[in-house]
Amino acid sequence: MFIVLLWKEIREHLMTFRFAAALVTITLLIVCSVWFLGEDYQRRLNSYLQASEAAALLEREYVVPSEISPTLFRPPSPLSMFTQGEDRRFGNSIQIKRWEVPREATGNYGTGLLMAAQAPFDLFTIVATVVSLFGILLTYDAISGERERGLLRVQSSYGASRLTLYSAKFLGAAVCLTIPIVLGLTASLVALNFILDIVFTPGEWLAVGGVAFASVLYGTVFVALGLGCSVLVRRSSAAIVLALLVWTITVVVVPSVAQGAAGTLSPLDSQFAISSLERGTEADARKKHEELADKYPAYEFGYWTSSFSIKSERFFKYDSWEQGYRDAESFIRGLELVMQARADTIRQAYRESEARKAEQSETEQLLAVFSPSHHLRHALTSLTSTNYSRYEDYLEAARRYRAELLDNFRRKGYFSDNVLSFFSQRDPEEIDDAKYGERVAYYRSQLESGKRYDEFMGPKFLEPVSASDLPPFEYSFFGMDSGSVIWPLGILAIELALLLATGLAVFQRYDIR
Amino acid sequence: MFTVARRAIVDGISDSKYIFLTALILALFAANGFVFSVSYQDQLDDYRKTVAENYRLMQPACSNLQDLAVFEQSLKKPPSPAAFVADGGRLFLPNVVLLNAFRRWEIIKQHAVNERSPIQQPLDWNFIIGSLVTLLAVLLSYSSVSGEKQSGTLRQVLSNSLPRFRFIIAKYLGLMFCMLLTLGLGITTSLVTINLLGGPPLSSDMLRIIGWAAVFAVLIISFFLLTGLAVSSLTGNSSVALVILLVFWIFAVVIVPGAGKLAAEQIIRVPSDAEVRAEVEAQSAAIAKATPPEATGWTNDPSSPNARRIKQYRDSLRAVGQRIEDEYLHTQISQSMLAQQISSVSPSGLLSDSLQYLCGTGVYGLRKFTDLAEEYRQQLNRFVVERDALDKDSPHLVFGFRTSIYAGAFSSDAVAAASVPRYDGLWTQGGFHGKSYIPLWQLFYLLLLNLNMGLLGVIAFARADIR
Repeated sequence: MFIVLLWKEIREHLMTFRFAAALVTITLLIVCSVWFLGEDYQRRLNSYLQASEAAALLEREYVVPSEISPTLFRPPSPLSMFTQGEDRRFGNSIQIKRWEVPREATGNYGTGLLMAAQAPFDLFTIVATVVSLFGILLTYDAISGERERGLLRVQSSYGASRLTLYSAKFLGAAVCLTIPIVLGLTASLVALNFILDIVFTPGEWLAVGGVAFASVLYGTVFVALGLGCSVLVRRSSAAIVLALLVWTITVVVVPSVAQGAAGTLSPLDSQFAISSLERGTEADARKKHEELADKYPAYEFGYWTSSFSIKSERFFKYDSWEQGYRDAESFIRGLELVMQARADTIRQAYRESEARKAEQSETEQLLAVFSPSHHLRHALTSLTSTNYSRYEDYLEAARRYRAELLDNFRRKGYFSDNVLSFFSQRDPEEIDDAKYGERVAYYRSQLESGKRYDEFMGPKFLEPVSASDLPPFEYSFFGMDSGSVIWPLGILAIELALLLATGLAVFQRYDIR
Repeated sequence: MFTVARRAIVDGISDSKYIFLTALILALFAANGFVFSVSYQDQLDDYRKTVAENYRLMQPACSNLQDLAVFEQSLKKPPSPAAFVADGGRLFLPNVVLLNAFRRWEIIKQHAVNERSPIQQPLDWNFIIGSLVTLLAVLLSYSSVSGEKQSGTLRQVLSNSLPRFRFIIAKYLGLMFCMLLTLGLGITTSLVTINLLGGPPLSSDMLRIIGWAAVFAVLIISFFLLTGLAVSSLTGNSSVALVILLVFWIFAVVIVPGAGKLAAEQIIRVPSDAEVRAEVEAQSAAIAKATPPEATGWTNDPSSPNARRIKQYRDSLRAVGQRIEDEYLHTQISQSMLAQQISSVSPSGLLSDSLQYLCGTGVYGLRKFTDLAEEYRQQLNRFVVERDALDKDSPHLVFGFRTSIYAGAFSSDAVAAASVPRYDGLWTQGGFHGKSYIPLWQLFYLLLLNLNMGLLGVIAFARADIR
């Protein structure tokens, strides 16, 4: 009996104008958005590859270890063509600096700064608004409409239980809503594969399956909502209004209100306080730098370029290498302490600010807990690795990279432990007073002949940095966190179960006349 | 006719969906006023502190004209007191320009924003009117003709020798009254909340903006009501009319604005920042290659025969960098404006574009901000040149870069801090957002849409089968 009823429901839906509208609208929108975003992904990927290649070339030109300041790029997520999430909103490159702990990324792969500031139009938007709306439209008169037309009585006379009847109506509509989603996604995947040559890994295929499942689950929540309204209210016209009101509140209003309210309930630190701290500590560090430079004048450029080398004529001020060496060592040791203290102060302020932001996000999540679209967003961005935590992973990977790079340098004695190596990567024994004298004489002769420093300095005295100095950057663009997927999907499933149970409970006592 | 209109008003106001949605809309208008008032005070406070600190940090640089010329100022965009009407994605747009007398160096974002939160529609009038008030208009109008036809009352009413076009106009006026009641109450609620919580005062500029925003809101509501009446007349079936209208609504509110963004990205391509940097480097390298070595490095000797050539070389490097970055910024602004123009095909997109234009928020605000920052930089540059001209001992080679000072190139006399041009003054002088900022073509387009839909509604009803 269930199968007969289910088949009848499906057939009836397939013949309706609403189904045709849903099929055309949802399928076309999914195909178009995935196609455009697929092209956008390819552009960003090319941009990423070019930038990485250029950065690798630049790394080969490093001469002095202290000049090493590699740029780490964040690759675009291949699944961002389904859900953009935060993939384009945040920066994608971090320049590793000795005296700054990475805290945010900058740069973009050709996404206009202003466009990245607008809500993306992607599968999430389509499913959250269009699919859910059609979910309601398919079922709002499933019970009340049939009662009004007298068909419900006829159906009940077949001997089917109300549970069977209700389940068949729900599943029939759910299947019909699934058709455009699956059709749209399948057509998009075919187009991506055959036209844009985008091929997914098994893990990514699993995520695409998850995206489809989450979209269908979300759609069925609204099918259940429409059905529930159809039972709760006896007239179809009232049922659609009730369902639309719930839809408006949960899909349109709550996410915006939750964000606005969370911002008011858990306010963030003033941006002025942080930027003022940065500027204040910068001024303080500059002052200390100048004091150190006055005390130990064995340096060349300002510390902002992190470039210290024996290129400088300042060394000429010393009568012997020994004195220059000692001063340079004291200068660098002192400056390292100053700069590291500044980096730690700023990092601490950012940590506190981050904690408040996390608190605000929790408030927002709490306020939006009844909004299915809020959970859908979490599920889809987690599945496609376009959520904020993936960006955080990137920042964390950059911080690990910096720590490893500094460890490498310290191990090799490139910093204070061995100023000579830091300068030129040569053994200290190689440069004695006699050699220093030779070098100074050479510099002077070159300068007197009218040459600039950069014309006669370089590989002649400075060996290139070895590739082993740079640790590999371990960050994968795809990293699905199953915990952050299961949680929102679980809530959606609970919402679905509650809606179905409530609807069924009311339907059991429903007057079918 | 008045009877029909009065009945439409009574039916509309006593309808449960009208009561519920109006309550929701009023609550959102109140929330809009509350959230805006609280955040505006913080933004204003941040802005004032930034201006004061910028000025304080500039003071020591005033002891030397060269230091002042290269002093990097941090210009912050003042918060818009009309952002409650159209926020324009304020938190996600750049609001600080770093510049000195020679060049604009960076445009950055400096907001107290939670990156963990996704980009949502801000709770402004644009959102409430564009999404919810229009939905209410759809729900009030979808059964206005078809519902009466299905219940048989339409036949009765028209049998009283009431011309059809009068009936439809009466229906329209009745529904419009209900909608205007909601809108009027909503706007009042928002303004009262802002006023009670110490928000910005209602200056003449603000009243002008609110007035125009109300005009646009009325036209948008009118358009959705006319669409509802037309579809209701054409279909003659409430259920079908509702499906069509909801599909239309979702296209107008969600799909067309979103598609506008996708289309604009296809039409205007923005280069990546790495490409921009590479372009600057390539062009700078070309200039360096074409310049003899003696005309590149400053030797701290302004009397040198090469001094002027060095200035020209440095000026060319600066100019090429500025030009490429200007082009990059303009490409981004053009792309965003195109997206908004494409979105303006839909009435909701049009409302959003018009309100941002009116309030000077969104991309329009950013464009004005960067234009004014450039105007200020030129003022500052002129100031440095004029002060340098007063120094008889100066070689008058006014040039510089981001932080570098070219010793002896121009005057190092002290200047009075009070005489240095100030950016905040320039912003205030420009008026609220300029007096001519009325979105005229958008207004014309909306009127045209209303006229067309009104005609369609009248014709559809005139030819409708009322049995």
